[in-house]
Amino acid sequence: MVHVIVERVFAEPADVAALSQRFEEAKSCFVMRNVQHVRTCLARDGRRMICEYTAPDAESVRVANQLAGLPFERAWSAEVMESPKPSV
Amino acid sequence: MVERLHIRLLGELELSRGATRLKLPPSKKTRALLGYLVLTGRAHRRERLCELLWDVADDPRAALRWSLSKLRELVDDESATRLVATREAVRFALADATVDVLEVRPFAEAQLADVSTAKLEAALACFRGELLEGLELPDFHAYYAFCLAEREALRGLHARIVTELLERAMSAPDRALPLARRLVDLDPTSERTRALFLQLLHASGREREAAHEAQKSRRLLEPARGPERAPEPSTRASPLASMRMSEPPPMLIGRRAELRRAREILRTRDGADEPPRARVLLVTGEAGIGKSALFAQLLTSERPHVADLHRGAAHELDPGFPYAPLLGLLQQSGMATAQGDAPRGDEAAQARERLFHGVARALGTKLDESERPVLLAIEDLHWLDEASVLLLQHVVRACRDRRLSVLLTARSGELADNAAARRLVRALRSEGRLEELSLPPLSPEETCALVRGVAGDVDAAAVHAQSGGHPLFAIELARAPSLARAGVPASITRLVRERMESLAHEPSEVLRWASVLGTSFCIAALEPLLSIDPVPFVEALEQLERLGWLRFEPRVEGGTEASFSHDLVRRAVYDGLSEPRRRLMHGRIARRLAALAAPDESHAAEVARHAVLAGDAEMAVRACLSAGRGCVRLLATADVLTLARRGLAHVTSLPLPEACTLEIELHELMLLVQRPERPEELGARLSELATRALALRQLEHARRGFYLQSLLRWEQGKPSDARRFSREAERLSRLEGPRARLCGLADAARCLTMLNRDLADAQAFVLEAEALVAAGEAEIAGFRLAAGMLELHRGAHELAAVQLERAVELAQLEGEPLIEFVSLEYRLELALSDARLDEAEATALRLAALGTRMREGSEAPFACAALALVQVARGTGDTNALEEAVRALALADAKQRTAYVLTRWAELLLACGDHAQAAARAREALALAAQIEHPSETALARAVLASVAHAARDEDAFARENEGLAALGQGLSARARVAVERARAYGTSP
Repeated sequence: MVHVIVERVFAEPADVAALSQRFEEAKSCFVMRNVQHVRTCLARDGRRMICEYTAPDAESVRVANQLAGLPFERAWSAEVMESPKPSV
Repeated sequence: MVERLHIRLLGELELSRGATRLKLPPSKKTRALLGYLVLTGRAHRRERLCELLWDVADDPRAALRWSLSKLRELVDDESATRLVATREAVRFALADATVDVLEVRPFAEAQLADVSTAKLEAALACFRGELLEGLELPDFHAYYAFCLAEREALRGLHARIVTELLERAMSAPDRALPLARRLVDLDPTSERTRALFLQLLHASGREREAAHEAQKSRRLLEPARGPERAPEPSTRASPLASMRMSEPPPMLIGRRAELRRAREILRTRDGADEPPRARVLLVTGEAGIGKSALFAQLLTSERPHVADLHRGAAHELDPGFPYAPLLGLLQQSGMATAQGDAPRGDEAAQARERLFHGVARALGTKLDESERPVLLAIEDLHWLDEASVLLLQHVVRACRDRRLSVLLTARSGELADNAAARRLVRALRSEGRLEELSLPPLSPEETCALVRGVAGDVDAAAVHAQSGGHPLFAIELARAPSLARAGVPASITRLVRERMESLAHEPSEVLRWASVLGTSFCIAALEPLLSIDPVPFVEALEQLERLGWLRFEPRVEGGTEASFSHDLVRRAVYDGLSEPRRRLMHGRIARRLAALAAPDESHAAEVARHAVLAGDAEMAVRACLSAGRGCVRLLATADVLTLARRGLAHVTSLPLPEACTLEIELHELMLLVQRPERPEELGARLSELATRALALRQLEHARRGFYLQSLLRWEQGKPSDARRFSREAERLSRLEGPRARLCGLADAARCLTMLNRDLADAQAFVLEAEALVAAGEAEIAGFRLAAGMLELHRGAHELAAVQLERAVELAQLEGEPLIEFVSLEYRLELALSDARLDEAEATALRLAALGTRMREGSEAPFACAALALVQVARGTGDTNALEEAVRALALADAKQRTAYVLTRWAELLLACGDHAQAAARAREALALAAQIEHPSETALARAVLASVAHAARDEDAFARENEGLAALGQGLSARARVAVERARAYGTSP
């Protein structure tokens, strides 16, 4: 499994509830491709969004998002960089 | 002036003075006392009267005094003291009072032929009913015997007067008819009278009444005669000649052992050491088992061995008609003296004693005069009236040391209902005088012999199976027009109905419900159907068992199993129910069974059966479905198909949408267990049903119909389980409006096809989308793309080309570059598969051009790699460029597309003989395909590796790849299947 980042850009601030609803409705597209949502970051102005998934490949995430009707700019596989250990 | 007192004893007791009717005391005993005193007309000692009517009172004499005081008020007047009582005796003095019985009595001694018609008619008018109607008081034996004897005498007189008048009126049927009817009422079991009555009805032109009476005659007369048919009494030839309806004795087949035993019992052992003694043989068995036939055969065979044979039969119709069987018997045998003396007895005890002693004395005289025995033969002891039973008992006791043989027949079950007969049997048993013979059913050979005599060409084995060796049923079945029709002969239905009529309400109801439940059933299922309390219910069951209607056995799983003694009987009971009532009962049973919390398969099958018979088509179909699904779980294929077909037979009568939705479910049920013989035909039907369901907005069923249709077209297989309608289908069903549904269907079909999963579902979605488009919805590119992908997947290249071309056109029109790209991508695969490399290159160029216009993703790198691949294939390309394009594609992290290009490249290398490079590319492709679990790409890569191993004679590698191929599941594309087959065709070793 790889980490896949999806970048989304919205002309208007994102309607998160509507996006969530669409995701839920098309969940089978994600499930059948072994695509699992990890987290989502939304810009404070609501116009940019980063979603992180784990999936067999980035293409699975792309296709799942396309079929679900979730708009995105690009999707790419990523390596998770080790975060510095918190200081005691 | 005091009005004259009139006393009427014929009919209900009535006293009147002039036109005024007097109010009688409410006490029955008081009224009976008056009747007794008037009829006897002489003095009686008070003790005698107390014994007669008050033998159980605390103070009989006081009771008698009280009654006399009440009667005195009624009958005494200023002109006469009619109740004359002293301290010792009481008598009734008639004075000027009139008494109807006394007016008719003189006719008993007269030659009626010499009496004028007017006088006879006046006498007849006195007969308003039975003597002292309602006052026979059976608990007071002496009085009861007196009453019965008087009644019999008067009934005889009544019949004589009517007969005389009838003979005089024969030339005028309208005058004769009421008299004949009256005669029939007096002796309903007389065949002679009934025949005459029928002749008169015909002569009067009352054909309908005649037909009704003829039917009634058969019903009344047949049970007493056994299995032989009643002769048709409505013949018009010679009325008086037809009054004699003689019949041949019933045919006796088999029963050799029983006959031998009976003869041993009946024949007194002449010359033996044993002294003469009375013997009684009781032949028992259920109705129709052949008692009458045996009885007749015994009479025939015993006649030469006896001094006298007296034959009689009791009738069900009027068990209270005293001495009828014995009186007939004695008249036949010329013992009129005994019969004539008794009924005219002046006093109750004397009357009975004289009757009994007279009969016994006559018999004794006859027995003493002859060396040979006398045979008394009485049929149907279970119907014998109490008076006759007592007389019979008296005769047997009186002749106990003589050569008297008594032959009795009885239905074992019904004997228990006749208390007097039961007591007689018990007494004879305790005296050691009774021998009993129970008749079992006939063996198959005996049944065969029996029915061959009735109808030579009948299937005797089938008759035996249906009749269970019951002679009556066997004869009637053999006589039936067609055994194959399996109907119950009308004669059996009639007999069963008559037997049922003698049952009380509760047992009748139990029988009716039981017949609807089936040949055998659980008691627990029967009880809730009836509105009968538990105790009467159990009593009814006990009675039905005793009478031989039902049998009971414990069930292995608990409870009690009940079954009819003969299925013919059940069917006859069932046939006796009206059609509306049957439907009502079946409906009630079906609903009750259906309402059970957890019905098992047998329950469901039962519900279906009853619902069908109740005419509730929807319940029947649903029950068939439920039962069928249960049978699927039990892998009972034949049952499933039977239930489904039964459901299909009823589904057409349902209204929409149920007719449509339930038919889809029934086809689904059949497909679960069996592939249809004509899949194209069924596919067309399912398409029709699904389209109709869609129009009816029955989306779930429409989808199920399309899915089943897709199974026939796609997998050519059976639904693996009832899992259909994954979340995809659920999601689709929530989409509102045909446009949204069309888009959803297309997306879902594409999604599944790309993954090589649930392809039948994918096909079903496409079919549904097609139906929507056919219904007028504008087609969309995504739908055509999905259809093309599916056609390509299953190897239908021409169809795929059409769909994909249309998909590209629509995508361009819709401005959907992604759909256009994927459509072209599949057209490229189509061209490569068909080795049309020019077209492949052109398509790859279009892909490359399109890829540059699309947002960042895997499309542009794939297009480059595809173009490089085609060019390498054509021999115009550069492998380095291809290598570079593949790396770029890998960076986009599109594993399926990368695996596809690598495998295609590996195939090219394999074809060129570069096995090492081919294996390297194939291994890369295999690793990628495995990560995304794509079956077709995995298979294609392994097929290349297997080929390489085969060429290199690497047995381990070859075996490994073959194992890998064998482990692949469903969903392979046509191209992958071909590759796998080719690899397997190499054999198990290189």
